[in-house]
Amino acid sequence: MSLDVLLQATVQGLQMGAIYALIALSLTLIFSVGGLLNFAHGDFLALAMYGAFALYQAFHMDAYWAAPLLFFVFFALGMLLFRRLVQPVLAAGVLAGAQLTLGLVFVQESALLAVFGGDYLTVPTVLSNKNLVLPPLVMPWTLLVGAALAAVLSVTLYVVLMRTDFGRQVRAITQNRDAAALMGIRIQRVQAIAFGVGIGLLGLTGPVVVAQFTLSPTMGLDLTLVALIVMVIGGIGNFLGSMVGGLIIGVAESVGSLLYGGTVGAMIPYAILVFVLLFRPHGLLGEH
Amino acid sequence: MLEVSGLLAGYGRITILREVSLSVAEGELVALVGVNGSGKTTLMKTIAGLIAPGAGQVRFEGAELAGQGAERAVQAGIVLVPEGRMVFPRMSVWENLMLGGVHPRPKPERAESLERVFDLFPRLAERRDQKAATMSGGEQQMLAIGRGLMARPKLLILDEPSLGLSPLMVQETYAALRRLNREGLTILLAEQNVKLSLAVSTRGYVIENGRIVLKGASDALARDPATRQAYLGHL
Repeated sequence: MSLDVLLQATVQGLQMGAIYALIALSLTLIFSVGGLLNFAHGDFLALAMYGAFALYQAFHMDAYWAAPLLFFVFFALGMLLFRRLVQPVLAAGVLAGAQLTLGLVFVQESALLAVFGGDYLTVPTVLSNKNLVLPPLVMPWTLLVGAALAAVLSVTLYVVLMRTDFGRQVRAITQNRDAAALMGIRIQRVQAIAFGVGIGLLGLTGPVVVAQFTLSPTMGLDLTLVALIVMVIGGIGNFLGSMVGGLIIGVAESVGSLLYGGTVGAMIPYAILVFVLLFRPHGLLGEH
Repeated sequence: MLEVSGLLAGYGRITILREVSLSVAEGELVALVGVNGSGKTTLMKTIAGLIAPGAGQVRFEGAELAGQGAERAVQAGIVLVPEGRMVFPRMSVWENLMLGGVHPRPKPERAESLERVFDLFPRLAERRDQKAATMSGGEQQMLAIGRGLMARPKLLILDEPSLGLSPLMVQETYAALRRLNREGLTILLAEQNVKLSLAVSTRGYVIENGRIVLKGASDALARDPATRQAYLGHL
């Protein structure tokens, strides 16, 4: 095996990793809202990809144009879901919240199956089948653009969370809810916005990365699993950890598949999860 | 300024406060003393809007605040420095202080408030970038008070600020409270440390089993045989 192939796999892995990082980061953002574990995370992402498919079918709208549109649609959907469903259910406990998101998995998967059928679908974009050749690397433009956007969004979200009043309020609520209330922070409003941004980001991510995936109604679960693994490896609730974890899983998966074949490669994220939990139960950057 | 009357409050079906009435005038430093479990914290939380009372009134500068929530209390100018300090552990001193002034009312004057807090507690300025969890109890108490001041309170409420502090730190904390009051800040202080809180305050209330059992000028309360026997441990 040549070094060039290894380099290619690593770069490709980093690009997938950036996408994983963004998905896990929005999962972490939603988790920071009252400890809600969003099992429907991947399904919202799948819904956004199907949204891009529907917009292409109906209006020949390119996925890259659909992305900002779906961001606003999903942001509004997230706010609405939080106010009408999540907030009342979360008041009954974190476990009830988890059950709610599990329920959303079935609702979305059934809805996708009913509307789009069970066939595998792909969405062509303006960049499909075009490669950037930088010898010795060959990179599909769709992956490159998806990864670049994911990286920019991840860093932006991270900076917003760490450096702005909004981000500080989100973290304050996570660290001590009562104290946050005493600062006059409107907890439910901040939480609704955070949840809206978390879902909205999936609306934006879905179309941008849609070229990387073959759509099927049940694809959401795999995406949720990857996001969960990334979040746990990085340290639950740690924003930087989710970004680092995403890159690790992306590279490990890509290089692993190259070295040991696809079957073993697909097992590698789980192996890393077990390994990290054995030695650092709170995750790589988790604090406790 | 603050007028609490006929307050009934508690958690769920458990009533802790029974018919509590208390008042604080502008510029005063009023102490609320009582042993652990007497209802001090419940009363402070109810005034700060964290607990909605079952009955009674919390009037502040003429406005009724009972059951209106903590955000409304901060808007009106009531700020509680809670028992156990409750600083945000994984955030720096500076971030904690910024959050103290994040409400729209105090926010425009945040830079100026920060300067005043650093002037009152120079140690916070030295530790600006340190994570709150890594500081000593006394420093965390300073941070909690500083964070409260960032909200530009008209009435600052402190719940057990001396709890778990070394005698030296207690002195320092109380010196700061005395200075704040001298500069015109109205303070309501809940304490188990009866001797100290009656020494710094002008008026005091004694709370027992959720009822106010004694009230009056602090020096008179400190001399009162009933208080002395119950709280100061000697006759």
